[in-house]
Amino acid sequence: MIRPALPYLLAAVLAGLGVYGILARRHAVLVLIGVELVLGAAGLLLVTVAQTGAGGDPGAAVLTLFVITIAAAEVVLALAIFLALFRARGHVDLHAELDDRADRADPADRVEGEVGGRA
Amino acid sequence: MPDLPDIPWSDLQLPSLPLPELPAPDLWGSPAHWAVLATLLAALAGLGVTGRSNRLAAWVGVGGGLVAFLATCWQLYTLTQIEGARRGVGTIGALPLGELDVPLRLLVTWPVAIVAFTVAAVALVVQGYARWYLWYDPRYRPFAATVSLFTSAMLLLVLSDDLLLTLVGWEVMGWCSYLLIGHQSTRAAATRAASKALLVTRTADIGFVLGLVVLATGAGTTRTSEVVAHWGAAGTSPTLTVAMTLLVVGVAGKSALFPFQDWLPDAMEGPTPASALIHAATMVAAGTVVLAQLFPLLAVSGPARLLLAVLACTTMIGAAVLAFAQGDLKRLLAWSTVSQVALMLAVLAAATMGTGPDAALQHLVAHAWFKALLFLTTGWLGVLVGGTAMALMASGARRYRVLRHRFGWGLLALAGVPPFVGFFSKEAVLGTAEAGTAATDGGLVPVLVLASVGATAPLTAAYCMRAWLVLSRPTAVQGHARLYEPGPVERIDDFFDEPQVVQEAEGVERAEAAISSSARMGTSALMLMTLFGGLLLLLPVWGPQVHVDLQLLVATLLLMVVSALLVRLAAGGVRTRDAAARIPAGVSLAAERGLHADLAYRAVVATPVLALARAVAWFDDQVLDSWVRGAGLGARLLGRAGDLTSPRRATPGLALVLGGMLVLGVIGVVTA
Amino acid sequence: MSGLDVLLLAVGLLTAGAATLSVTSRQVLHAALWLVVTLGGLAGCYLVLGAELVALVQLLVYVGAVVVLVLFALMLTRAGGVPVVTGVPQRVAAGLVGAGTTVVLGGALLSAFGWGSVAIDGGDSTQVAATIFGTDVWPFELLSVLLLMALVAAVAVARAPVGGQDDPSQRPDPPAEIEAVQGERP
Repeated sequence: MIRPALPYLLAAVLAGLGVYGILARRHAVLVLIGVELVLGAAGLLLVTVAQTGAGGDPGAAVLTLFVITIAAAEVVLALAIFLALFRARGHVDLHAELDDRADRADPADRVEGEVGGRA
Repeated sequence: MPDLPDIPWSDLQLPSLPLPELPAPDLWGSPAHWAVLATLLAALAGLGVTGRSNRLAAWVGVGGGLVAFLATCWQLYTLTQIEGARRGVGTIGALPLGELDVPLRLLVTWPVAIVAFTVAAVALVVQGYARWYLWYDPRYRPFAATVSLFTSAMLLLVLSDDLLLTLVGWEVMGWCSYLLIGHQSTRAAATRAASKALLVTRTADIGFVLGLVVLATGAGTTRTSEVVAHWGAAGTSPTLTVAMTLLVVGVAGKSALFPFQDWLPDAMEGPTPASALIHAATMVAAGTVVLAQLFPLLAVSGPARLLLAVLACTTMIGAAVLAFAQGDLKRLLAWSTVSQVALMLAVLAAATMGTGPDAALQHLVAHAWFKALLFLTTGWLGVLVGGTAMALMASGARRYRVLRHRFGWGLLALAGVPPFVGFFSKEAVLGTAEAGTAATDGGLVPVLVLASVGATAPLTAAYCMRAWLVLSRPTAVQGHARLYEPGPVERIDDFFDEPQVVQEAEGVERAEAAISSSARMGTSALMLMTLFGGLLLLLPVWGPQVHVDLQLLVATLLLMVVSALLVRLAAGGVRTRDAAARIPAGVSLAAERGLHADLAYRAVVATPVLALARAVAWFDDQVLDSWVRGAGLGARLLGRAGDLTSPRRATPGLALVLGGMLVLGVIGVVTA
Repeated sequence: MSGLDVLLLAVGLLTAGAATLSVTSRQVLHAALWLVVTLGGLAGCYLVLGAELVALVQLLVYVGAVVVLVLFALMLTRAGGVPVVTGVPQRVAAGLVGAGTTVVLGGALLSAFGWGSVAIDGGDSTQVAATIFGTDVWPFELLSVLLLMALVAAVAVARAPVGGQDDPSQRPDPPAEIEAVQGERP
């Protein structure tokens, strides 16, 4: 016998922490960690339902597996994008200005503008 | 005046001759098919196959015309062999148009067959003439092809038993007339005249098309005979009246009735063969044919008849007066065409069901012969003297003896002098109008028409006399001869006082009159038809008959003689023997410009239309577009505002998004 | 409180603590390592809940693969070190949104499922396998295609030339002061 309330609460806490992580972090990889937490919360929710409320239906467990797989794919892509972002900008700071006018202008100007802006 | 008896037309008519049984070759289709298709194929071949060879184009054009002519001749013979002399044939089968029945059939009856024969004959003559006239023209090939297409369209219109085919022929003729009038497209005047003709006739065509649409939809079929039967059975109705009035407007445009008259004299910018074709037998007369086909409907539409009568009578008299004052022989003939076509249409307005429309078609046939002859002869003389202005044309019929009879007979026929063809058709017209007067007990329309025809006859005689006096003025040589040496001819010229030199000079002039034998033969044929065409009008195949009022006939002839004598008197003492020189210069100038109808068109139509267009453009630009521009401006302002207010960094934006999602989640949880 | 409850509580507390640290740590590498702990704790939760297969997959895929990827990414973007946390106002807002999420989610779940105890009756691995290779075989195969596409796309994106041309001069060197920020300690 088990109280499903406990894993539910854990899932809610993880989701909240994940959201906080997404919003409070500037580094893109750290934001991704927040996303992973939210995904983990979703997985926990699915597994809990599968083990306590589904009446033996394995569908929820299978869905969890699918979510894990999709999360892996998503992480791969996200990291590739971060690499590209890094090569383009020299940083992966999500709190930086989105590409403003200076960014769209001549590439040389762009780099100088960014350096100047940060200095 | 002695009390002269009426002569029934049927007494004048020739007896029915038993025709020999000709061997009838079993050919594909009917003569109507052959006539239309031969010219159509000649047009296509003339454009597509002949390459750069004018010779081949001429063979194709003349060949197509010849086949069409032979087909129409054969058609006349076949009609004698058919009971009831009515032959309907199909063409490409019915069009599948749902509710509307479109059989696309042709119908041949006696009047139609004779008109088709006339059209084909004139077209053939014109083709042969054009080969000579445009010998050095680099654009002869398209000209010949256009003439073929034009002929094909006219034959289709004449023979059609389907409003759709009528419309096709009508429109094709409109476009071809544009091409023919604007043939010399490098001349600004020609392109202007062509555009003017097209614009004016097409404006009127709106009425024509609308009228046909109303007729066809009302009857549920486009077959002309069934349309006539349907509406005829339904009797007078406002719908029918509106349709026929619209139709009359369209016909007025094509036939250059007032107020559309001004395009036709300007159309003289086209080459003379084109003028002869357009203004003698085909386009301007097409309205007569269409209205004759729909005559039973016109007869019961009072307002349409009244409109037609008023327009035609105004045009008839006005154009005859203007013709007298023209300083150019071709323009004189053009105005006379306007007048004569108005005569045909006026008699349609005056005719009753008892007399039928045949008088109009008779006059059409007669007019085709003599007007084609006059145009072609004028063109011939124009080539010889280098222009068609009256001053250049003076003495033309004396210097070039070969033209003398052509001009003379043509003008006599135009004036309606017996025994030329114009006399018979004019008598038929007068008889019909008089019968209309009698049948309606002095109704407004027939009386108006009768009076106008009566007034036009002396006017026509006047301008014919004027033209003849100018043309037949003694040449300078003859004048000097008479002056200095009243005895037998020993001609003396100012420059060549040796008689031999003078003789040689005359010989040169005769030689210059050279013309290709086919063109000369064509005009000779027209000349013969001008003289003996009356026999064609006396064939016992024309419809319900009229009486010839001898009293009226004699009175008309007297009036004509008197007016001719007056013109002769007025011409005395003028160097060119031109009676119109007595007219004040201002009036004469105004007449040559068609009484400034151009200005009227501009003031009444062009300026308001342009103003309306500008107003619409302004409205579109300033009012409608301002909404569009406003939307664009608003979108730009909104975008600017969004640009300024939206977070320029990723994570604050993300915070807003997630916060919004949270709010949505809360709402979902709370309301669940 | 059954034994399972106690076990779950313990693992759950570990997981939640590790998660808290992973989202608050100012050291990038530490955060990633705390994520490892969190995900491992989640696998423990799955074990406690009786889903052994899912727990093992979680360990394999997340802890084994995803975290390694994250670490690789961190190392590859080392030069892009920036201040890792946002300003105070945004952090407060983030905390509010996160707390709100927790409250809404937890409240909804608790009010829906209550506090009572139930028996664990999840399907065993045989059933899961039967479902994967039976009912859900097409989605499963599609997932394999998705993974392949993600792999190819990741290579394509990561190798994509910057600004449309693969010119090394187009790749900006990290500014000097950013290097200084890297390795900043709280």
